[in-house]
Amino acid sequence: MAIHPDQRYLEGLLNNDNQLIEEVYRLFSPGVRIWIVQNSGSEDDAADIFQESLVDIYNQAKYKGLELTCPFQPFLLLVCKRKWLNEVKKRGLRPVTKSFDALSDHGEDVFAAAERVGMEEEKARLFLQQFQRLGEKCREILRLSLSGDRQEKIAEALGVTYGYLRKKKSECMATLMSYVSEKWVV
Amino acid sequence: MAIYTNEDIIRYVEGELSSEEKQKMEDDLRADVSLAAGVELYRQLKETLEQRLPADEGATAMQQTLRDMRGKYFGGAAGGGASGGGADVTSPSGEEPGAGGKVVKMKVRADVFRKYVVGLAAAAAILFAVVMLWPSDYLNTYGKTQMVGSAERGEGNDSLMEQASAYFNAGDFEKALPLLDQAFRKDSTNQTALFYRGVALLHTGGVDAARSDLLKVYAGGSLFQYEAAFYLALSYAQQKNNAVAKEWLDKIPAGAPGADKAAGLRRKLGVN
Repeated sequence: MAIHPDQRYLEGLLNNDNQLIEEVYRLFSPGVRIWIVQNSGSEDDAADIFQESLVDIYNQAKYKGLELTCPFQPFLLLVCKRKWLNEVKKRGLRPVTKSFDALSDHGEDVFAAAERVGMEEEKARLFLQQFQRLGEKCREILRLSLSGDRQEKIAEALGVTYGYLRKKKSECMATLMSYVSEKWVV
Repeated sequence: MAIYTNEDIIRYVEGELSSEEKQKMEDDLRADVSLAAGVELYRQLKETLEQRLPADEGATAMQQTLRDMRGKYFGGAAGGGASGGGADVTSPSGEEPGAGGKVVKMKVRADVFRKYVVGLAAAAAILFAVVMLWPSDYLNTYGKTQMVGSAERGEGNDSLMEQASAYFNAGDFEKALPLLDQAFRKDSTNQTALFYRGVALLHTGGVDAARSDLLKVYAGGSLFQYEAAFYLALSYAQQKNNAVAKEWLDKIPAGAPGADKAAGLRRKLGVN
């Protein structure tokens, strides 16, 4: 599928292009603000959701090679919408009743792309949250072991043998897997 | 069918099983959906951590831009700080009709905001005292160092390092940090930039990122190796983790750069 010209907004986020990011805010934030405020949220909620959605899109573009094959506006609105619906559920607010007018004439691919971003980012957040539950030693070992540096060098830096480092890394990852498995089904 | 632990899964993905064990596991993988899900979970987990644990300077810069825009395009307490303006300057061009009604709402918010500010200021003062004053005691007592000039770098990096050193030596670590970062990204063998970036990060509160830099410097075996060990010790001392601080101090031999400061810190921590 062809890349949509609005891919430039993703490039703008990746390159921290002030002008393009400002364009995103100028063009698309009013719609999100109105919709969230109409659906039990505050202006601050809208600002948070808008900002977090852009960070999610940045992460997906950076780490998962996300490319836009649809216009940016409905895609962004759907990412925001999904995020706000989760928040409404979490806070036990009144269910969302107003629909997003700007989304009425867009195809399934936009919904699928936005859903994928939401799911992937929820998963990444969970992984990182559970990582924080590990002890300090485990976090340090994993942080270093997964940094791409040679394992022998890392073992030396930590003052342990290579075999010990490998064993500890495996134990720490196994613990992390069990933490994640408690919360997530692949 | 065999029962597999998470560690078996890790060994399989890391290619650490014998050929018989691997064959057996692959047979079981075809029949056991939950085992296959475990393998997939480990792969995703590892990939995510590899990608997202290292500090992402690009994301930090982009998020700062988002905070600035938030202040400009959204009202409310959180956004007001970023734009530096009050509630009356938050209307972007192309604002939907009815903005006049919002002014009243924003005035009410301003009162609430003021209360928040008072509360936040009190909380911030306590936080400042706890996080900055107490821990930086060790940092200010033992963590002083001066950046020395660098003569062997390329032209562009020389100028960067000079600017960084001016800020660093003046104690303006916030300004030194991006320059050191830039210098290191231009030349990833620049151990001087990496070491001082680590120290600057420590001074600006980025303890995890500081440790990551300093560990690399220590592992690199350059002239900064033992100084890096000293700052690693200092980072743990700040968090009252004297046992790990001592482990790092123990790595510094007598006569090595940083040995004098290490001896001082040892005495202070009582870990001789």
